[in-house]
Amino acid sequence: MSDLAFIVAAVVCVLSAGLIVSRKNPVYSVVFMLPFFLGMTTIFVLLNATFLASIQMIVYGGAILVVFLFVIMLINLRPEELREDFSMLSWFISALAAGLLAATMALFANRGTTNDMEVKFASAIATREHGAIFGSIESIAYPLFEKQMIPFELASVLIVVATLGAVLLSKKRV
Amino acid sequence: MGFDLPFNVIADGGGLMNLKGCLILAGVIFSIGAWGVVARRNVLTVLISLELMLNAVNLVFASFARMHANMTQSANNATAGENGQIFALFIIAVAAAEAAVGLAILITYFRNKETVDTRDMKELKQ
Amino acid sequence: MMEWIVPHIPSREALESKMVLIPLFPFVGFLINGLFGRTFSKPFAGFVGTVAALSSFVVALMCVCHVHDTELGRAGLHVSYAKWLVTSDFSCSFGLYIDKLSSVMILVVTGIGTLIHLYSMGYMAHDRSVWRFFAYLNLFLFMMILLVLGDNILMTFVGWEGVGLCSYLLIGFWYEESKNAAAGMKAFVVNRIGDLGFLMGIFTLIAVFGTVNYVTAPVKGEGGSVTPQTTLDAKTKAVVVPQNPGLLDYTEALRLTYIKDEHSELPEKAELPKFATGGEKNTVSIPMSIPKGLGNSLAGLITLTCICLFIGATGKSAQIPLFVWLPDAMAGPTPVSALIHAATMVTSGIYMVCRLHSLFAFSETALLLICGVGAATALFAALIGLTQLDIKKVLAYSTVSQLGYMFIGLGAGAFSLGIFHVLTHAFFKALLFLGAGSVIHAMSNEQDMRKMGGLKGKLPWTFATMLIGSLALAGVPGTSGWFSKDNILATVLGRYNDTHNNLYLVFYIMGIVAAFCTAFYTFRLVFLTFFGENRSSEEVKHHIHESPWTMVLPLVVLAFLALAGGFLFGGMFIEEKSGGEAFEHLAIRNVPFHEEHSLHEAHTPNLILTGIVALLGIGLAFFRYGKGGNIPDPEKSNNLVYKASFNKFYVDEIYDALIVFPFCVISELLHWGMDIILIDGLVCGAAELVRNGSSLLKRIQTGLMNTYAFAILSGTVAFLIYLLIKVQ
Repeated sequence: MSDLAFIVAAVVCVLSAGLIVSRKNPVYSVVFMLPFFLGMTTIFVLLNATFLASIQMIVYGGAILVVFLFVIMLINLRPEELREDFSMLSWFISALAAGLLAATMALFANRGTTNDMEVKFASAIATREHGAIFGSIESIAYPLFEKQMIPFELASVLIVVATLGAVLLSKKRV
Repeated sequence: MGFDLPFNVIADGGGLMNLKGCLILAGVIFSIGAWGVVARRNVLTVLISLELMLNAVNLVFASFARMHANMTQSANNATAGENGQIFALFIIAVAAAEAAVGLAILITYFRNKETVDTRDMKELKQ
Repeated sequence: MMEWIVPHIPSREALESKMVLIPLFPFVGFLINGLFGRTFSKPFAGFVGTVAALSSFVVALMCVCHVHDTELGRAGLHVSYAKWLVTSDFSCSFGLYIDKLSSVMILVVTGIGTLIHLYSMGYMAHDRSVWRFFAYLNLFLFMMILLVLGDNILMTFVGWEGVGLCSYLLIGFWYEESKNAAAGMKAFVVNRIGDLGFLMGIFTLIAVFGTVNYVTAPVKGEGGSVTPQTTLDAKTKAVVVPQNPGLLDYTEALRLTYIKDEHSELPEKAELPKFATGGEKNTVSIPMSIPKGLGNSLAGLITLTCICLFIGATGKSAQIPLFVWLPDAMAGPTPVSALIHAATMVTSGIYMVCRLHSLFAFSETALLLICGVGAATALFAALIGLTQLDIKKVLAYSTVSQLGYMFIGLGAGAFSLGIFHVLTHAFFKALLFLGAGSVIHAMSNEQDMRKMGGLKGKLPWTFATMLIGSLALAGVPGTSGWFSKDNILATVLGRYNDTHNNLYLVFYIMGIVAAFCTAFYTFRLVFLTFFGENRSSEEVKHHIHESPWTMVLPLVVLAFLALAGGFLFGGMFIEEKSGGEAFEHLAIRNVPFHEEHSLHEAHTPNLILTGIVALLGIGLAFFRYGKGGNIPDPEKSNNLVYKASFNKFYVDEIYDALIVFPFCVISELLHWGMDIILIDGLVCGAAELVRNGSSLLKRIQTGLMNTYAFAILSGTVAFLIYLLIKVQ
């Protein structure tokens, strides 16, 4: 069951990622982000990261995607401005480099994953000592607010600063 | 209380749904994102490709988090299993901030230069 | 002794505190004129300079009177002001030291310096930058005083370089003409060659004796400090030196130890003796911290030191081979020629040798070399002087020649006579230069003697004083020049009688011939300038006038001294006996003769000979030029010797060919070979490499974001592949 779900999600992710990158018109890229994020969310759920999955859906699918779409509408590119995007040579060379990167990383994954690790991966204990299920809001909340308090606050500061920066930058007269 | 899963993810072992498969999938997605960053000339698409890469990294964190899920031996590192997921959360936060600022810069740039093509962004070279 | 000059001499303690004023007055004068002189009126700038020199003279005179009245032997006034160089086993300080030897020089420097300052007030009255002139002149006095009064040889060297600097500045005083600036440069460069020798000498001194101080540090005592002396203990017959002995203490100790009679010499190789000291350290020995390879012969090292120091002296005192700068130095104003290039600075080489005369006395070789160089210079310069037409050039070559006489005297071991000739020469040569300046002043800056003549009626004071100076220079019996020169030559003849070394006879004959030439060219100058018809243009004739009193007064004072100097001061310098007596009133001990009668037997024939050649020279000059009309014209002459003499025996050309030209060729070779090809090749090649490389690399900088991203990506991939291969 989970194998099947994983395969479907993975195929969806890879396909939509390829389409995102290869579409000439960015609107299509943004549109194909939606299945990509859905696939990712599925995989996160399969990995027991249920809270992470919901955040992924909310932040990416709900916020970032919309912002991208919004910006595309805002700058309103005319088709003639979308010039011939790929030159064959650079397309080929960059595809080669990316392929090599994928191959090396796959080789690393293949070599680095021991049987022991796979067993641990497969036999993860789903329940925490105070009853929370691994990956749930509760099980993440304890370490996040106990041990990662300062990074969490700093992340909030970062987001505030980014918001202010975005507002300032996008004002009419810069 | 808790979050009831619709299926038991823990029970079955073999098949493709394993650590290696997750890592390879993340590597492929990362490479596709990198390809987009290198090959595309539209800044918007480049930014989207960046998001792809970040997502790939999140996937790696989530996979290893699951691998470390049962690290509950002592009180001190009782929560070690969730750290990977927390890190992924931070990455999402940073990605959101990055997207906001990057797009703001893009808008400003477009307003001034009427272009989002990286081939036209050569001010520093001149 | 000198109560009639200075009625009240302050106490020793008061003098010690005032001694610093001697160099300070000229220095303050230099500062005032140098900093604010631009705003002064011309007479006031001159007044400041002259007062500074006069004040210095007055203080110096008081100190000298005191030094000559004390019975403390060599213990002059000695004050140490500050530590200068201090290392573990070597130290020297800023100190002033007036003993009986330096008192002669300090009086010459400040006394004649004052007169020439006074003269310059008249001579330079119309110059554009009088203040600059007096500032330089005062700086020169300051440096010269440091040279003379420094209590260690490094201070002497500082003064030595300082006077060289002032000489350079003053020769090129009218720097608008490049000829003058070039003459200044020539003087500086030639002097540097000599200075190298001097420095080598100082280094050897430090290596051998481990000290640069002339005498040990003064010790505070009742009524002023005392410089401890090296003595021979009467009871134990042991030599006792003071603590931290100076150079003169060491030489005195060596003399007392080794030179028991006239025939003994320093040991070739021997265990150096330990000298008893009066202080806590019981014995002291000559350090001789020299590399083993150089040998440990003290006599040989002393000869080496003396020759090095003498090379320094040949530079400053214009001896062969380094005399070429002095005639060119006449490009400076005439008072400068009189003060620096006749009376004081050029005699500093003689003073330096006399200062260390007890060291030179150990080395017969060095003395013979000095005597030979002196004789050669005296004759050579006199021969050139025979044919010169420029009035100042004649005097310049005569200065070189007279300096040669001084070195003959030193080389013959008569150090006191060398100093005596410095003194008399300062009188009559300063007089002659100032007289020549007066003539040039009257003739509207004409220096060519062919255009002069018949001036004796128009410039009576100048004529009378210059005649006296010329008599003294020619060595007419009774004048001051005769006293010193005659005695120097007598000593050389005495040396010959004593040692039967034929070289001394050769030197003597050279000296006599030079004396004849001197008499001839001196009176050639007088006859061409003051007798016969005036040969100048009508306009110049109209302007001829006697100089103002500021110029005449120094002439008269100097004429008196030139005439009577021999009678006044001769007793201080001339040996009565031939036993190499110690001149207690001079702190000089001449080299003794082996046999008592050698010198006595030399006096009478020498007296006759010098008298005859002087009169012969004057007679010949009168015969040729006395009646007027026989005006020398080198262009019409076919006489080769005459031509050679007129062209200074082509010394400058020979130096150009032998030294300057090869130097230029080597420089040119280095310029092309080293500089352009190698160094420029390297430097420019590196720059070229970088430029070409960067213009290649520039292409990588597309400015395209994607390219950079691709670079990062490919770098990452390459690194990962490397890891994949490396980490198995």
